[in-house]
Amino acid sequence: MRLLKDIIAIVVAAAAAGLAINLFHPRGFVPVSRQDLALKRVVSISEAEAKIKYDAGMALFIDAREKVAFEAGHIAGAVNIPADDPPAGALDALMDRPREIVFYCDGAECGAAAKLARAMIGRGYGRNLYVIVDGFPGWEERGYPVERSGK
Amino acid sequence: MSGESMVRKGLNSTLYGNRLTAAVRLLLGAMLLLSGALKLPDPGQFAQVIARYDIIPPDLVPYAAVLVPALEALLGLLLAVGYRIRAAACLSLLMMLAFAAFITVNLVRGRSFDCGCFEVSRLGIELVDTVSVWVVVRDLVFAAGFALVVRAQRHLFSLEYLVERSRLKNLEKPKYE
Repeated sequence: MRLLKDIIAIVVAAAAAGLAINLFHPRGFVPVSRQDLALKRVVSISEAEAKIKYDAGMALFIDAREKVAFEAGHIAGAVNIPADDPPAGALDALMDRPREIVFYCDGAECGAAAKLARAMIGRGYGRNLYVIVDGFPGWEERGYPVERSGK
Repeated sequence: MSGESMVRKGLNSTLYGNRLTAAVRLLLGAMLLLSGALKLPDPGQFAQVIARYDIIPPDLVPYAAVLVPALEALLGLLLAVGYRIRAAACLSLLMMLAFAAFITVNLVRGRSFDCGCFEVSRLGIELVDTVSVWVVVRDLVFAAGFALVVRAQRHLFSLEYLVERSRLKNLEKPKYE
């Protein structure tokens, strides 16, 4: 009996400590945060991980930058969907693709890739979405395949 | 004394609680404390780890992400310090069995991902810890260690032992002289 009591006491103490830590944590959970978890389906990956998906041909690369930046150079085979002004129906066309979708823009600060990814989840896209943390500059720096379509 | 009986004596002494038992308890406790403490700073990331297993309903994942690291750290602390040892070891044993079961389910599903057992990448250590039979075996070995601690009668180098010993010593002294 004392064992059971101790076990319950430990679990309660841990739950209290965990909740207290979560309460004061800058990125803690709001209790019952389905929305929060949905956003967690946007997975950050490095260029190297993106390259693995690229080589396997299992991913569709979406360039979230402006058209001008896209034409000046982009990941070979990527499709341009500017986050600020996505062409009508462009995101819907991605919804039922069997391939994984990798977004990128100009690096960790640009936010355009994450914005597109969130828009996809908002539309009810059910699987993980990937964002290349260092974006196009990181990809280019490593000497991975790049394509230019500008004049 | 024959070899066999020496082994048996050692085994019995370990089951009763000798220095080896204490070492097992301290090591496992330190391990739990470390792995719990490493997960505590980022419940969001640990939630992703739990979500990857696809076993706990999504609505409950944040609660598990908040509870499990704190529980691990607390159990580790209790085991290392040596207070409420049996209860802590019991819970740890259950937890290890649950981890092993979760990983087994995902192995059977034929999936492969980082098990997120120890978040040592936070310490700058690159450890690829993909779910595998080896991880299950490792968890079961830990579980066996906890089972030993649960079964043991005496825990050297523990708070409980110290308190009990000083209590027994004081019993021998006459109260009034």
